[in-house]
Amino acid sequence: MPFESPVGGTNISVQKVLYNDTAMTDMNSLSNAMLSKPSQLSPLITFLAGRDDRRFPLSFLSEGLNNVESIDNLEYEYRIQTRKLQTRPLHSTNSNSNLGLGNSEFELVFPDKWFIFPYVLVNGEGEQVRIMAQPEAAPGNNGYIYRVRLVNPSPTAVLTTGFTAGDLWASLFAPVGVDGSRGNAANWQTPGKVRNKLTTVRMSYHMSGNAKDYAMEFTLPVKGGFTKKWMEYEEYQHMLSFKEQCELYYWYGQRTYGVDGIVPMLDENGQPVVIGPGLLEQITNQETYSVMTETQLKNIIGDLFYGMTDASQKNITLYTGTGGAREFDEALKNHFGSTVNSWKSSGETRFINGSGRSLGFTGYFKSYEHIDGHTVNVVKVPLFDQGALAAARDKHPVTGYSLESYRMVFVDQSSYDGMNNLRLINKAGREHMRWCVAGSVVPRGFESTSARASDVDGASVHMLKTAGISLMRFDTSLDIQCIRS
Amino acid sequence: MSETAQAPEKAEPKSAKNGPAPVNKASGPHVVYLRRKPIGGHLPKEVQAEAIITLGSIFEFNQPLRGLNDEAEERELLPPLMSVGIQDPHWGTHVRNFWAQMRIKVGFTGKPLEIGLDENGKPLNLMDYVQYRFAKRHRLVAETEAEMLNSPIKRFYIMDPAKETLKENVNVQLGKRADREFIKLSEDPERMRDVLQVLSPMIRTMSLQPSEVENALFKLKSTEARKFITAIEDKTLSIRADLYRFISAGVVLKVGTSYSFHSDTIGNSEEETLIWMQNPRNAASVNAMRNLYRDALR
Repeated sequence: MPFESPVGGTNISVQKVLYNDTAMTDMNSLSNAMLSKPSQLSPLITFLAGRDDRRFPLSFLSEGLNNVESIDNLEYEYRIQTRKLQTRPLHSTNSNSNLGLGNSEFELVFPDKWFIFPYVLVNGEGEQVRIMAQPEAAPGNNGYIYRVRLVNPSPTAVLTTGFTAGDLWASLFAPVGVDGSRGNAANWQTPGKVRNKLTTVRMSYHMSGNAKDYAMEFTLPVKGGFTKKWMEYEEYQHMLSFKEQCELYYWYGQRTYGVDGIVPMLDENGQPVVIGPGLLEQITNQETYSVMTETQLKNIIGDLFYGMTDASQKNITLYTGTGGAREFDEALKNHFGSTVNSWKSSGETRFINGSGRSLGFTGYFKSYEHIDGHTVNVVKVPLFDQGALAAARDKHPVTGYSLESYRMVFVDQSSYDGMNNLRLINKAGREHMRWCVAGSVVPRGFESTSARASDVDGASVHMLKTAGISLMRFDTSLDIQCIRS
Repeated sequence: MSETAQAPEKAEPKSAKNGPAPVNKASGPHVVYLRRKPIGGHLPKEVQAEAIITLGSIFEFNQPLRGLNDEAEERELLPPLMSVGIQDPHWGTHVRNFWAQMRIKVGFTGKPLEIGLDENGKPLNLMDYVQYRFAKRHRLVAETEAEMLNSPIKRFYIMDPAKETLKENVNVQLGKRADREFIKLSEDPERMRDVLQVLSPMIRTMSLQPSEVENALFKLKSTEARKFITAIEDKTLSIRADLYRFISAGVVLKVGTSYSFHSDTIGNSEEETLIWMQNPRNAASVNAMRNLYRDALR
C-alpha cells in the first residue's frame, strides 16, 4: 500500500483513542507498516507528530514537509554555489604616467584570466576601459597582462585611478565592431563541493507489561483514500522523545571527523562514532546582539542577500526561543517610536480586541517583510528554551531566561534549482528503525510467539535513525547569539 | 528635532575610568586590523572567505556594551556619528541604540581600523576609533592571535602591525644573538654535546659524531633560538647534561617528578636532583653513575 506525500493533506491526523483490541490488530499496527515502508512513513509520522507536538520544528520543516532524501551510502556529497565574483583586484601597479593619453593602449595586470576580451571594465571611480586583445601571461607567473584602452574618446583623457595593485575592476559588457565580429566567451564559476557523513542515533526504553489503555491512531493518506494505523500511546510518547533527541543532533551536532574524513573516536567495539555536522555548525555567518532593533533586522537580512544575483524574495525562517520571539516582536513595535510603547498610540487597532469593559491585548509580530522582498517567519524552537544547552548557558540579564532562548537562527528555506535549501538526508532503510526484544510480554503491535528473546519480566523497544541535516547554501543563513560579557 | 551638537574643542579621549585609554596619544596615522578566527577546514575556501562574521553588540550587566569610558566621553565623541545631538531629550535612548546596533563586519582579510590621532588629539577616523574602543572591550575579542586560537569563546583579535613589527624585531635580535653564541660554542665540542643533550634529553649524544652534534645544534639554534640561548646561559649545563644522559641510559630512574639511583631517591624535582649531584658529599655516587653510564654505552 503506497503512502502519499504528507504535505497539504487535510484528512490526515493523529489522535489519542482508547485501545480496542478488536480494531487494533498486528496487521494495522504502525510498527509493521514501518518495517516495509520506512522511507514513505517516516516523513508522514514526523509531519503528524510535529503538528501534534512542537518539540522538533527542524525535523517538521524538513523531513515532515518531504524535504527529505534517502540514500544508500553513509556519506553524501553535494555542490554548493557561492556568490559569483564580479571583481578582480589589480595584480601589480602600472607606474607609467598619463595612462591612456591620446587614446593610446596601456597595460593592466590581473591575477587571472577572469575578464574576457573584448569586455569593458570599470574601476571604482567609474572610469571605463575596453580590453583590446586576448590577455597574455606575464613573465614569471605574475598574473595576466591585459591591453586596454580608455572608452573616453577625449585625446586628453587619462586614467586617474585604478592602476595601483589591489584596486578593484569589474566587467560590464562586450561591445564589438559594427560588422564581422567574432563570438567571445562567458565565465563559469564552478561550485565548491562538500561531503558530510550521516549519524546514527538510537534510543531504547523498557516497559513492564502492565496493560495500557490508550493508543494513538494515525489516519494516513494512501492512493484513493486513507488508512488507519495505530501505535501504543506510551510508545508514541517515547517516539516523540526520540524525535526530540534527533532534533538535538540536527541542531547541535559537531563533526567527529576532520578534513581527511578520518574519525578518531571509536566506540567500545572499535567502531568509529560518526557524528555529522548539525545545522549550527553548517552556518558560517555569525553575529551577536544584545537588544534587537528593526534597523538591525533590516541590515542583517540585507547583508545576507545584498549583491547576490539569485537572491530575490527569499523565504527565511527565524528559529528562536521565547526570548528571541519577544525581542523580534519588541524590535518591530519599538520601530514606531523611540519612546516606550509609542507604537500603541498610532491609531492601530489590531493590538486591542473586545469592546467596552472587556478588552483584550493582542497582536504580536511573527513575520517581517524586508524592503528587498525577503520574508522572515518566526518559528519557536522549544529546545532553545528547555534543551540541554539552554539549561547550561548563562542567563539573560533582564529576564533571567537562558541566553540560548534569545538565539536567533535565520535559515534560508527557499528553493534553489527546484530543491529546498534545507533537507534531511536519511540512510535508505534506516529512516526510522524500531524493533522490540520481547520478554515476558510483547509490546502491542509486534508479532507474538511463545519463544522470546529475553528472560526479563517485561520487554524493551529500540529505535534507531541514520540521518543528517543538510544546508545546501552556507552563505544565506545566519546564527545570531545573545551574549553577555 | 534638535541640532547635532558640536564636539568640544578638545576632543582628546580622556584617560579611562575603567583602565588606561587603549590608544597611544602620539599623533599620526595608525592602522590596526580586527581579524577573525578561521571557520574550519572542511568547507571550500570561497565559502570560508565569503562568510559574514560580524562583531555585534553584547550585554554588559543589563545594558548593551558601551565602547567608551563614560557618558562624558560619549557626549564628546558620538554626536558626529549619530543623527541627534546631546540636547535631544532622548539622547540616552539614542546612545543605547547606537551601541545595541553596533555591527563591525570582519571580512576574510580583517577589518582595518584607523585609530591614529591628529595633532589636536582627535581621532583621524572617528567611526574606526569608536569601533576599535568597542572591540577592545568586547568579550569575543582577544588580545593576540594565540589567545584567540586557544580560546573557545574568542572569535576575533586585534592585530597591530606596529606591535607585530616590534615583536618580529625581538625575534630577529634573538636570532642574531643565537648566531653569535653558536659561533663561540662551536670552538668547544664537549660543551656543544652538553647543550644538545639538554635541548634533546632523549638523544644519546655520546654516540654522535662531532659533525652530527654541530648539525643538530645548528638546526635547533635556528628554530628554537630562545631555548638555545637559555641552555647556553645555564650555569648547571654540564651537570644537567649528565643527569639527562644518566636518565636516557636508565642509570637514574625518573618516576613522575622523583629521581632515584639504586633505589634511593636523590631528588623530588630536577633542580633538587642537580643540587644533590653538585654536593661534594655525593661525588662518589655521581662517579658511580658515570661508570655505569660508560658501561651502558658499550
